[in-house]
Amino acid sequence: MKISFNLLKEFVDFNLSAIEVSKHLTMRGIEVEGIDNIGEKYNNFVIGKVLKVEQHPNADKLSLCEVDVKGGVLKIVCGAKNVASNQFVVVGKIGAVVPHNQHDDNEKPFELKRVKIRGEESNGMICSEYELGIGKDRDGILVLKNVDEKNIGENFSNFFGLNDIILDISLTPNRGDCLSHIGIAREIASIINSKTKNISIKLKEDKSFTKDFLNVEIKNTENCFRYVAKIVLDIEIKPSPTWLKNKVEQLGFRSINNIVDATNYTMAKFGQPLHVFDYDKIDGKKIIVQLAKENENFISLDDKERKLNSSTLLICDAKKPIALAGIMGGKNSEITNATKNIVIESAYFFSENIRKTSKYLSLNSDASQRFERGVDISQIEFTANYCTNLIHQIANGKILNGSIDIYLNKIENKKISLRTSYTNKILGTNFSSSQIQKFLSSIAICKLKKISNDEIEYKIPSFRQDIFQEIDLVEEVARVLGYDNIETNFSTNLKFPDTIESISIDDKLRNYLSNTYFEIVSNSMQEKKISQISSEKLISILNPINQEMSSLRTSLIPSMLSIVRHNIFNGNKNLRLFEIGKTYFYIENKEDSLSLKNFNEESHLLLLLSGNKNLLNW
Amino acid sequence: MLDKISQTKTQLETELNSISSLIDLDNFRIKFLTRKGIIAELFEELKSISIEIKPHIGKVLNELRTFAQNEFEKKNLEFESVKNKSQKIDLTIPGKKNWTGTKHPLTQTLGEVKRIFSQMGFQIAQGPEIEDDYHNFEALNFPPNHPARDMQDTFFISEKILLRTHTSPVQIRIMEKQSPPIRVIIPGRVYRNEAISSRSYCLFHQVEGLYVDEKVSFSELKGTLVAFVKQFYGSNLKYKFRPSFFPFTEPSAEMDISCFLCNGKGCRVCKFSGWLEILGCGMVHPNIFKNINVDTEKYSGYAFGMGIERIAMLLYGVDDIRLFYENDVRFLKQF
Ligand SMILES: [Zn+2]
Repeated sequence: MKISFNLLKEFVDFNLSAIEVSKHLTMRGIEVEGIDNIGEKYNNFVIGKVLKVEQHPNADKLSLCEVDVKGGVLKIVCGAKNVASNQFVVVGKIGAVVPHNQHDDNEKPFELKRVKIRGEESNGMICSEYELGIGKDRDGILVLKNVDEKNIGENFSNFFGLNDIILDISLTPNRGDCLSHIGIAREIASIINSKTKNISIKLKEDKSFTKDFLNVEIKNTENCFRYVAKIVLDIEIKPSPTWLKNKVEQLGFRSINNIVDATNYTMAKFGQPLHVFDYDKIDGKKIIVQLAKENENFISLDDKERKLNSSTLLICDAKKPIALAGIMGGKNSEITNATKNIVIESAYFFSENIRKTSKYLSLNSDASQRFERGVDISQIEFTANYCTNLIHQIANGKILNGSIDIYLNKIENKKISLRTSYTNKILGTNFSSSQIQKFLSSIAICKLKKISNDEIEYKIPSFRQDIFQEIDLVEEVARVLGYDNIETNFSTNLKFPDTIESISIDDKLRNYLSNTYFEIVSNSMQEKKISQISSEKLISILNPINQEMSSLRTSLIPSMLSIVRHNIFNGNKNLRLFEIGKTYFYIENKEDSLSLKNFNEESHLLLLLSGNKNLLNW
Repeated sequence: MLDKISQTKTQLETELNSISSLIDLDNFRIKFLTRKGIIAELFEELKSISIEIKPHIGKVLNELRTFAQNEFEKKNLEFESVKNKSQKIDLTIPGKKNWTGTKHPLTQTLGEVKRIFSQMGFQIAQGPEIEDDYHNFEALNFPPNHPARDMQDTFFISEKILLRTHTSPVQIRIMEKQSPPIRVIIPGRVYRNEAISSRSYCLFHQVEGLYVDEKVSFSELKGTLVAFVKQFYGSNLKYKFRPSFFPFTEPSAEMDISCFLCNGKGCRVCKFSGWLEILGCGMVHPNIFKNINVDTEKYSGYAFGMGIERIAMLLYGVDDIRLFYENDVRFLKQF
């Protein structure tokens, strides 16, 4: 998962470098695998103003430009047709590394040097969107709008959200709450003993009410706990503004249009997946959340026809299914360039149901990944509002008044007790109950009440869906404390035996044979046809990587022979090899500590000699 | 150390040349080749040598041993043939070259791991490779339909029978039969349905450790593993434990050691982090104890697991895991 440094700073103030943040997060169990300083790429790119454009004396298609970059006027030879004086442009100075070379077939980056082009000196380059790696347009130079005299000389990375550092984070499957910037920001806040900022949204709403435009009914409350819908009318679908397009792309999404980008951006920030329907494609102006019929067909956004089962949760309108709940929308309600009115969905679907369906359909999405791990039920409406506000800013339109929010059985926060004695026993530490309380409160796990001198009950925040029982709190204590701060204690319990356990027969054989034979270790999976040579009943693998590995070996001989073949092909003709390995086959009513009932796993020794009996030493 | 090895070689060659009887030969054997012999002593010394030069010196020392063994065998054969052929020696027959062999590098690596842990009082246990879903997943606190199952792509034999994806099910099998205290290591072959590449193979070898007793703590887990790592990789390395996630342990940790290839400066192998991930570990999750009726108030325990291929690759500088399963004798000869 990609995390933007700039977006983190919207949630928490901190003064740590990217490397420091990475170290801290990794020691909190959130492994940072890479740091990409995108801003650095644009080190020698500045904003310039074109002062003068003249025809190149020796080339029809080239112009000689004078560009003010503050602190000097550069003479630059430019080949673009659209260059004109008084434009604000991006100038790559000498030493800048241009991300894409549009005159090179491999489009490799290249470094700008002082050159003479047809006899005229050029001290840099005026860049196109494509050359800067921020867009597809390569027909002319990028002309900046919303820029004025005072921006001249400023670093280009300050524009379009390019002055950012992207962390690449690998998350363990328990921490669904960290599949978002807010989640990572909460950890950083705890690390620096600070708090995350409150973000509030004020919507400019129209007079008409959302509920007069749409009706929502949850028929399957077991799998849909909460459903929020917002409506925006008369929007303009268009490409995202550059800052948003760049940000979603930096975060690993494909930029589609302003509406889709807004939902992905909101999800990346808050972890809540959102879906947008074309309001005019919703029959009966009604949304029903219910289970599919067995074998019902549905065409998802990606144009694939999918056969559903009766546990698939669907979002339907009065006539038809319009989305696979929490996984992917349908083709029939998708927004297109012609879309005018939209419904924004923000919901809580039961993690196990989403997981089952996603597995059944072999369909993963950014949304399903988050629902499977559990989203924050308390933030469903807030994120809908956040996204609505963003859409309003970049796509205009009218926001209808209020939201539809169906939340039938309110989910209470979990309450879990933790004993000080148990914490210290498991960790081998010696903390007081107030120290433990302090660790936990830094990650928003707060004291509810004292149960006894040893035991305190805590309230678990709704975003921590991975915490179920006492031991989970012990782990949180250890995590906040830092594993490195737990004493390393070599057990006094460990008894050192006087005599080392006698070595096994396998190892004795290995010791003896390896004086004159090479030991081999071979694959125990092989082609069925080969396993069939034995009279034993072979064991097949239901989902093999390929047919060459579709069964378990019934004998060591074939795998040994294939290794002999490999060696002979490679010029190793005189061979003495041995293998001690298992064979596998079905056998009725046999069971021991080394094999399951009806299966037989047996150790075998195979010796092989091949080539000349006597190695001649000429 | 290299000087010592070359001195030994010179000494060895001189004495070889002066062997004129079976008694001389036997003296040679005792002096150089026995368990208390000069070469064995050098191997003993090798253990305390810093890890970055260990592979190289180990290799030179291995060559010396092979050389001594070969020469001994050669001389021995000469005397034998002298005896058998009652002095009839045909000097026109070329001499025989002797067969050599080695233990597979994976066996050698595993052997060293087993040796260290058995010195610490761990017994060795084993279990089936063909497992049921219960032991491989459910009893280990992997609920059905849980994202944690995606961490381990599984080969299935039938709906509920599979090829074990880790050696951890043997933990359950042992605790089902035996009550604490339990202190075992469990080496074995495990399978993962993953694309084969230079970094991953469809099967590999793991060593699992389990210690259950009264008052076993995370602090001791750290102690035991630090003791192991220092014996195995050398005493001056740096280490760290960082939080991780395994369904069957909590708290869970990943242990990293400072990269011995670059001294922590950063290289291709450690992905320029200066650290190498070498094992996963943690305190046995109380749900596991509940699954097999161990009293969680009385007992606690720790478990750890490491991949033998990964260790062998780091230790011997092997950059393609498939080489271990190709078994080219030119490769095997190097160990
Ligand atoms: Zn390194």
